[in-house]
Amino acid sequence: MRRSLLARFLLARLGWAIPVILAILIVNFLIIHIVPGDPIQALIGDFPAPPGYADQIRHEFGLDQPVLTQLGLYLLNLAKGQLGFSFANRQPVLGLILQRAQFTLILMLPALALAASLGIVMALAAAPRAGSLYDSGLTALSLVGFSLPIFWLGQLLVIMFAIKLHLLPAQGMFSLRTRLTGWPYVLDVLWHLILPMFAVTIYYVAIVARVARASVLDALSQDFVLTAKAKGLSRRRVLWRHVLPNALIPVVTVIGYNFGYSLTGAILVETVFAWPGLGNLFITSIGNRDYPVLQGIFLLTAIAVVIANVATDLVYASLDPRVRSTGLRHA
Amino acid sequence: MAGFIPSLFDRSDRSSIPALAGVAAFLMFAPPSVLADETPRSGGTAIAVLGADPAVLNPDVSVGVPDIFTGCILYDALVRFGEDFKIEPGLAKSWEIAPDGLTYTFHLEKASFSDGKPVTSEDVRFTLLDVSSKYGAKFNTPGKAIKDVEAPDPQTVIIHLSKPFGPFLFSLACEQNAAILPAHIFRATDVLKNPATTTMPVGNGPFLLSEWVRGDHLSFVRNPNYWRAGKPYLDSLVIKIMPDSSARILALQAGEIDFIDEYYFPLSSYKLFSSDPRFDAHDVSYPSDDLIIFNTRNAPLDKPQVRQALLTALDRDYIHKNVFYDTGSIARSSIDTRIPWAYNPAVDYEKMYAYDPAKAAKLLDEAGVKPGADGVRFSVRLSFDTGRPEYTSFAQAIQRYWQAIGVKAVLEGAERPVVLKRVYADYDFDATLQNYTTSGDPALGISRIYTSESINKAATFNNASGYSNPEVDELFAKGRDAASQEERAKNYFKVQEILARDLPTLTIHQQAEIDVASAKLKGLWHGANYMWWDDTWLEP
Repeated sequence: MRRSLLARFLLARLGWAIPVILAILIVNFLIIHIVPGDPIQALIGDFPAPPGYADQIRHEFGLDQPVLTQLGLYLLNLAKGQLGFSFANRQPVLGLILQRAQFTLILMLPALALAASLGIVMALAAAPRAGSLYDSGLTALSLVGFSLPIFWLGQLLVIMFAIKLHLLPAQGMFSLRTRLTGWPYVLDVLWHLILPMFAVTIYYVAIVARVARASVLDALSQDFVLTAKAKGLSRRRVLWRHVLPNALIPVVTVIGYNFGYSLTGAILVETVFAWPGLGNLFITSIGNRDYPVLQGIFLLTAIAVVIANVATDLVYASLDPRVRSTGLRHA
Repeated sequence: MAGFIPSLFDRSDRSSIPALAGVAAFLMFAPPSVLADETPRSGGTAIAVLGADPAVLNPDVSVGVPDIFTGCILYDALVRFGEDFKIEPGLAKSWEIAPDGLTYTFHLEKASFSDGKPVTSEDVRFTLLDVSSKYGAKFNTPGKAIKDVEAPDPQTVIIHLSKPFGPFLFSLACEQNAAILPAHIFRATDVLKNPATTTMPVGNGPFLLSEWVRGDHLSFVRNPNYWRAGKPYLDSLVIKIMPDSSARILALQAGEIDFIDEYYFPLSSYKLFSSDPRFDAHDVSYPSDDLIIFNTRNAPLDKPQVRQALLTALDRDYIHKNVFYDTGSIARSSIDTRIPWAYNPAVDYEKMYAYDPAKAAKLLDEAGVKPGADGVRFSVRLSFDTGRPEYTSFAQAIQRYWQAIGVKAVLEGAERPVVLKRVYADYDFDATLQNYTTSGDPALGISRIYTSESINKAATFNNASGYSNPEVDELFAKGRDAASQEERAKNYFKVQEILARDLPTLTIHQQAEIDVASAKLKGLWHGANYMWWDDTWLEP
């Protein structure tokens, strides 16, 4: 019974996702084409091209068709699993985006995981001592972390740790001067990961800590906490077993929401650290008016947001019995 | 045989013996410390940076900076540029030019492509006629001058021109879309879609592509069969892709990259590197000019007197010092002073149109462009690319100076593709800031700003002003076609006098093109703008 409820709940959510993604695709397609600028001129560059050359390329990429025909062709190809061909990169969009998405995940997954754990631990330590110096300090710090422009923080980190102290690399995902394989390569990537991951983590840890602190405070004032304390449970046990699961729901929302966006959300960090991810590809594709790549990134992001939302709902269900029984969110 | 550009011809015929003798003398008399520093050594990996991946790996079908930068590592051409645009031998070890300037005979080096096939005269013929002339925007004009290409034997190429073309030899360098491609790979294929164009080059240059991780880097390894014996010195060369200019600067400071090409180096960082002994900041003197192009279709910009007033109202010294960080120089004429044989010293905007707001206002009054009740005479929509680091402050400076004479500049900054469409396809602008490379020769880079034949909505970086003057057209054509440099110069001198009066486009500033390299990178500064990577070596 419970399993079939969950399955129905999942199906309903996924059923909604399809029209949402389709609408996103059409709106994005039209927005990209309405924005002024010509990909062919961006492609040809700074010199007068031979007569007919621009028209030839325009035809080659189907850009001489009316916008609605282009949209129809795009959706038709999409139904066949083809995301199109990148003008600027001269290769199929799907492979390009998937390769770059991997690099973004290498950066964002550990950063989000670290930010979530740190944020929760900090909130659990601060909330029971609300109003204390530690708590005020944490609130102030998370405000600072949230407000720091991430590209500025990134540059400061590079100046400090790469240029002044020569401790960590300034950019990139791996060393280019000496090429490594096997474990040394993995360690090299981790070595390059530290600074950009730190920059991303600071931002997300600030968000998670603020939300988690508020929800822990809220949970602490509930009757069941009083009951648990009255039963004589230790302070630690009350916090970890009773307060935490209840306080986690808003935190899961924040993490789930940000995970969906993390695919492109790292644009600034990827730019500052020359990390070869999706955010970097996004920026260069805007400059090149590389429509198929932009469309592909929007599609991937839309799917990621939808999946992250469904996953968030599943985590709710496992955290909160009320969600399991009614399929409704309470947070 | 001597014909034009005699100094170039002399170089083509030089033997390697005097050069060797020079090296021997140097070895005998140089102090040991200098020897330790300056003897090239093999090995090592150099890392250069570009702002974007190349779109193609074929330098003959594109003019994008990353495409040519990368393509000319993979391919050689018949000739290449040395310091000050001197033509040096490339795949052609020597050449003869007929006295009428119509026949060029080239003798080829024994070289091969990376698939082992030899580079022959047939490859040259195929490249110039079937690829460069058809797909190479820079080779478009020289391509039109070619009547026929003969390949009498595998090592000899004879090019017949239908009319003399002054900068023809110059047009045969790699960066002019004339790298020699393998005919056996490209023949009877779609050149733009051929894998050798898109991903798998079959080159004859000093390095071979070994890896391409898009958005991150391209790796090249030494070509073991390279035709220049003992070269290249580097074991490998990496091009790192970094779209953000501050990130590039930081990486260079951290020692993680060794070289930033001028196109990707912000002038605002020049002082930082020029004063630091760990770096060489070098003006490559590949002349390009910062221009204000007027749309002369729109009143009152159709009046030469109004355009003269707008130039007189600008303090170019302020712009040079504050917008361009004291790099490059103030422009004096429509032809860059760094092309000394073609620049007419009698034309000097600094004297003819010295900064004088009162005089500028008077000129406008005389032209009948009087201020309205609000003090504004007319407004100018100024279109510029906000992606060029200096252009926003350039536009703001212009706005301030023009305001002083009652001309309201409305700043229309936008991204590059938007500006290109507005200016070149839609003519939807009053004035625009642009940077045009001169390509070192008025026939290649400057005539396109002014001639009637380059008014063409289907292309970019041409005559967007709409200015059309048959006399100017004729002088530029004669300047291009005359058989000697002196004859060419006479026509260019005359055209500068006319343009200094008509001013359809204001040449404001002569841009410095600054490459910055780690001081450990040696032997790099041979080329004008594009590097001779085979000569480059790393100090340990």
